[in-house]
Amino acid sequence: MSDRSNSLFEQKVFSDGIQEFYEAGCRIKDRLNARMQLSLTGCSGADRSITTRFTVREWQLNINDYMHGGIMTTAFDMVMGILANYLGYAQRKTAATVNLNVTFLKTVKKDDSLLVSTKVVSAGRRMICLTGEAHNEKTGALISTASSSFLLVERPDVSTLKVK
Amino acid sequence: MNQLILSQEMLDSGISKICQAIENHTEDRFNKKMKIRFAYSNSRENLIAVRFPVQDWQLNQNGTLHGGAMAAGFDMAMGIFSNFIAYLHGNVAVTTHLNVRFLKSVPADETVLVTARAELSENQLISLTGEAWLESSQNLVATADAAFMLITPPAGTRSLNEHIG
Repeated sequence: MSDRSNSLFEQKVFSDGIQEFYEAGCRIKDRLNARMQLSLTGCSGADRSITTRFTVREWQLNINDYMHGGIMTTAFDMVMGILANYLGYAQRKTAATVNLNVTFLKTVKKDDSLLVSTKVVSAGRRMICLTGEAHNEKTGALISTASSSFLLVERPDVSTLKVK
Repeated sequence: MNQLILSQEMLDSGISKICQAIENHTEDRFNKKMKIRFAYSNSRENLIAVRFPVQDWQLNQNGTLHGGAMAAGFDMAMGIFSNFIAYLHGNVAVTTHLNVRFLKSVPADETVLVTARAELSENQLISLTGEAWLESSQNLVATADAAFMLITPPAGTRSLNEHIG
């Protein structure tokens, strides 16, 4: 891993950068990212991971009154996208999801609070691979796992966020 | 229960009633917000197709369809089909696995056609594959595979009988 890549995970640089990307992702109020109401609860440069929390609301339930599988998938895509785009920005690129694989282990009910975390497996010049987990915050039970790949693509109009 | 045998009429009627029930549901849940509509089915191929419009709330910060919303489209199409099959056996179906491959970005104001093809195994699992196409250009934008498990309906959950009759 290069010196530049290592600097991206210096704790303060990482925390500040992730916070900026998280806020940018939720900037447009009525869109899905903002509606999910995920809150950033932790960033670890040492682990190259971030953790978020959200509470399951009525609108996120399926016909059987459990959390919709699409909501769990959206949460993973959102959290992983924040981390992938943070890494991509350093190369003046944006990250596009190419594959997202989710396994559902337990059902989730309304008002349950979930901790959704993601961790970098590998970060190259063209591809970023991540894994994720979702836990029930109250019981600690593992609810779901995920893995994903993001492709880094050139974007001349990349965000003006600064990453040192 | 390792082979699906569905008549065309049964499949058309059942799937369209489920989609209609979602549309008519009084609670404004995620399923209803997606505005999924029944498109067609093919009983010989164990296949259904639904469509949904790309709405503003489903866009990401780049102005294209959020990956989570695309995945939700697959989960819904496959979930509708799985729960119809489960209903015929007195069960409900829950997602155990969903794998989505994103091939092209989906612009705003498009309509996405999602197909779901099902087969049954002997282990109470329904395996499905899916494809998502832009209706305007017929471009393939994503593919998916999923597994749903058939379980006894938990106490207190609403039955599809309410919708299909």
